[in-house]
Amino acid sequence: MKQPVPESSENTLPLTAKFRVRSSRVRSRSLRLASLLTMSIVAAAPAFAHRLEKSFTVTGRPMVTVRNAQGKIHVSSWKRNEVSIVAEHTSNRVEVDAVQRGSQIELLTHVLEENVTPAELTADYQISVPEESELQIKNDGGNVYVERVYGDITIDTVAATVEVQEISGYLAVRTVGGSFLCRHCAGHIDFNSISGSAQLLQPMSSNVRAQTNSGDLLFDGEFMRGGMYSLKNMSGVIEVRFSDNDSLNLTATSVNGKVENQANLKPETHRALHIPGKFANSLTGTLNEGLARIELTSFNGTIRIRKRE
Amino acid sequence: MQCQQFMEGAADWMEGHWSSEAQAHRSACAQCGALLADLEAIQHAAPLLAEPFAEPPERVWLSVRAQLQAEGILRTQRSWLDRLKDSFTLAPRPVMAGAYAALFAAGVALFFATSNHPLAPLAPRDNASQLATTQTAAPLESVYSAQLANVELNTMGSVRAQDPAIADSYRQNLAIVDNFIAVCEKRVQEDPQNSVAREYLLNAYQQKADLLAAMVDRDTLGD
Repeated sequence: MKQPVPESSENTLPLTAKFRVRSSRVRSRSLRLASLLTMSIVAAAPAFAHRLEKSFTVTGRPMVTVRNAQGKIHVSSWKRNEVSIVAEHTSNRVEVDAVQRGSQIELLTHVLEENVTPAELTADYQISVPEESELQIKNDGGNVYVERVYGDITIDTVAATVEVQEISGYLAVRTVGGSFLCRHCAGHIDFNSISGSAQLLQPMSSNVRAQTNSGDLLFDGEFMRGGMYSLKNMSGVIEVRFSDNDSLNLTATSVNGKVENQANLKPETHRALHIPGKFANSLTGTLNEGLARIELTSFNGTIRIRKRE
Repeated sequence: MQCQQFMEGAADWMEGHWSSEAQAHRSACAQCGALLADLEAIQHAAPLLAEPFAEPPERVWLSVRAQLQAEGILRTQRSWLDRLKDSFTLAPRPVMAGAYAALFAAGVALFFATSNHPLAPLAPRDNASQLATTQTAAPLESVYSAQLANVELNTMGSVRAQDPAIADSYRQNLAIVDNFIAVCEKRVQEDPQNSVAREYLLNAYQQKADLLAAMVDRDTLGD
């Protein structure tokens, strides 16, 4: 015998009570949905459990030093006499310190325990500084980005890539394997690496020195009159791009590699002939008045002197 | 003639191509006359700048050296290897890293000095010393090489990078520099007069010293 389906308890309730039960279920479903949504958003975004925000009032030209193992360091300038930092990291086994000593702001990520995993080492920094600030940044892995800072800058990385834009002053970049990209940079540029490559795009610098062991070097921009430009590697490609208006005095030497030249250089008559060795491919000459001095040197690599298009 | 026109033609006047108008303007205009006189003075002085400076007499170098020694800036020369050895045994490890680089740089400077490089104003410049230093140049390179191998052995044993990717990067780049050193050494042996190859070789030694120093330095991060 078929048993009668028991009536739901809700059906036995009065109308107002039924409404309250239903609205409570709707609220419960909404809450569940909202919490699911929140969880999915949290899962999609980087999970920074720790966030440090600090501001320091400064006068004159502050010096900001950052020492970090892994992560993104983003520095840009603003008009305030203030250094502001936002540092985020996931692990509670590392800590970010931000302290002020006079005009010096020191930012340091340090580990609190042994055997921290690489992921736990990661800390990201967003830093805003006055335009004339000086920077000293050490970051082993990840990325360093600096824009519109006009004081002297030193960046030291192992594998981290370095990108700078619209800076002036003295810029020294040292990497072990990290690449370097420089856009619209003025002042003095000094790059040194073992396997990192460098690209200098539209620089406005009269003093450039770039040296890498196995990386490529590219200079694409105007050679300023009276400027000194030295690009040197062991292997890889060195490429400089010139325009017909540039005033160059150029020496290119590759001990074992090739020198490819599109410039109509006039041979020099007043300088002593430089003979680097019996195997070297070398050329020396001037374009127009020869007011910018360019030295390109490679051991096994190819040197390209290309006309800018 | 107006002042602007006069100055636009200054290059011609400086080369002696005077027009009667320009001559008249120079006499009439005190400002343009003074400016042109300055330019002529510079023109006459410029060739003197291109002349090589006279070599100061030997006694000048000797007195500079004596003064530096008296002030403790320049000490009696000991071999750089002895100084290197002392530094390694006395200094704490992170300081050692800097010492490796600094003393290595000193060694490189010494090499250049003994190679009659222009960076060596205090070096005696007689032919005998030049001959002696040429003879010692090759052994110095092998001394650097051996010393660096020793430093590398100590460094690699003590480095404990927390991030394997960073440790790999160090190892890979050390291998690149070692390979570079081998290539340069071969080339210098084949062509001892190849100044570029020698420069690259010394540069590679410096890179290796710097890299080892950086590895020790990074090891202290977070301590």
